[in-house]
Amino acid sequence: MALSPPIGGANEGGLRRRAWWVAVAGVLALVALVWRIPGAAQGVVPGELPARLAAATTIFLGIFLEAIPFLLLGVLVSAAIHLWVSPESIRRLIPRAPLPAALAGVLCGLTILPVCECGTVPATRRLLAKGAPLPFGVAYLLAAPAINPVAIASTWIAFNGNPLFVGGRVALTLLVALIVALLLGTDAPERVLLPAAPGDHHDHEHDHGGRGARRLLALARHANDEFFEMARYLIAGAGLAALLQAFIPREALLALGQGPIWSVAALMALAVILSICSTVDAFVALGFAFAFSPGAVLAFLVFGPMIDLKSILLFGTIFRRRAVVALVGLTAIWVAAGALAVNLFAGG
Amino acid sequence: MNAAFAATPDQRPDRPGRLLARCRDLLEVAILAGTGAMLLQKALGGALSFYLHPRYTGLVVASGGALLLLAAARGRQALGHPGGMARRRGGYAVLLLPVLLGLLVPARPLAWSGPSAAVPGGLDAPFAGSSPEGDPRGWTIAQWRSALREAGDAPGALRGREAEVVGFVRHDARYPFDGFFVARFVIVHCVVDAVGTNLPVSWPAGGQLPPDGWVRVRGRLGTLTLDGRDRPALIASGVEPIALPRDPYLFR
Repeated sequence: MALSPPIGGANEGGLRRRAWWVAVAGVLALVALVWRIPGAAQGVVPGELPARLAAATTIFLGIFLEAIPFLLLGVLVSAAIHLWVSPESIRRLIPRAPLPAALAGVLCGLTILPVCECGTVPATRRLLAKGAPLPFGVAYLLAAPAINPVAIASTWIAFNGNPLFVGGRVALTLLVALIVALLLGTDAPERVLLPAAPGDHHDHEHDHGGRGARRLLALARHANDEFFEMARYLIAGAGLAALLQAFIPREALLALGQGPIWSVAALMALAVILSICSTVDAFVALGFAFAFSPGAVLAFLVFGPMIDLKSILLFGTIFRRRAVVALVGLTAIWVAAGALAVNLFAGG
Repeated sequence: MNAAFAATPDQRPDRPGRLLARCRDLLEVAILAGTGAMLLQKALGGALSFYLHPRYTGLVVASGGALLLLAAARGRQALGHPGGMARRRGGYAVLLLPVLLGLLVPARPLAWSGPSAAVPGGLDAPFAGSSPEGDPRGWTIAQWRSALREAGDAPGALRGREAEVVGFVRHDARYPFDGFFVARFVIVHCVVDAVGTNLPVSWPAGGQLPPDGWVRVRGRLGTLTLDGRDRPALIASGVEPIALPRDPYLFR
């Protein structure tokens, strides 16, 4: 009579330890192999790429390298929320009424990491899945990239504390985030949000390495799932932004933007295409201050952190397609309205 | 796009199914580890400054390390539970793109001959730099441009002052003259916000210098007539080709 292999106990613990070492060794071997690709530091593609393609590659890698730390932070936060924040806690901490929920979302943008859309999208997705009200999620998503302390500080430095741009950026961001959150929040969540992913992962591993080790493994598992879900949208958005910047002259777009109305539209379009991180876009906006109306510069500062090529694709992981269109459209309308009002009253 | 990326569970896979699941496991580990390796290689190999401000090196290194840890965890997960995990469908080609581009394409900084019209920084483009201080011989192109802008785009008190700048060669067919432009990109955060800045250089046969080649220019500030206007320019006493510098950009 054949004996079945023993289950549980020391034998299983030994197999798991070997699995760890095999996994680590495999990863290190892969890294060593990659590092030793002939001329990896110099690249192996012979000759020079056509100039614009080379520029697109450089810009794409720049966007990717800039964004990946924040995406990783976002997926770790999202995984932590998934594992350790209960729906009951969400219901207890976040108001259910639309306006208080939206205000809570905006306030979270001031205080809670991560700062740009690469990080806020995974976190928002997880909070909404745990039962956070829709106005809270939309307000946090739109406001967090622009009104976090780092973005406010960089705007202050770039514009020498000019209240029109520093205060205007915060005020218009708050206003637009609240309005859009309340407008979208009136719709039923099932009409706005994508259905939840089919259950949590059923993980049959029982790591007896200790409570801490088990928690870290679970965190890594869920972070991996989030990473594979989010990263492809970041990469697609970065690729599109890079191609547009390399092949469409920026000056052509800027040349269209003369006058108090078209200047607002031109800089809003440029903000979407450039997809610059909100922590430094103030310095880029400063370069436009000489040639464009104050309202147009403000529109660049407010619209860019909310809506760009990366975030439009990332929103598709949370919202249904028509909701993404509504989100982008409503945000554009209200930012433009605010910017035009600034031009009208402040002169531009 | 979401439908293509939805996860589907494998239920009691047969041999081809198990093989496919194993391949997916390996691919996901390779994507995570390859991306982490690419980040570390860029940061520790010195090429990161072609894409990002050097102050973000630590963040990129930490991200590379985190990805390697995630790769190890994914590998352990796959070894401990072969063929029984929920699987993602598709999109792996997109996820491999940064790894392949980062490792296989030579790292090169932005060149003006690439998106030349896509980057503001022509002769008359405004440059919002800070006021320079100290000996002008140590000024960069960006600092010269700031100083000249403050002086109303005229040499003024700076006429005749010695200058020594490093930059790449740029030719502009709109401004034919016996010389070239010496240029640099100024970035705040990453190449996405790059703004070009340049100075005309009077130098015999300067028009024959290869575009995007790096040079060190020594000379004095004077003027050149370009497009019917007198413009501040470097009257070069020496132009020396140099290798691509480790930090090709000027940082704000």
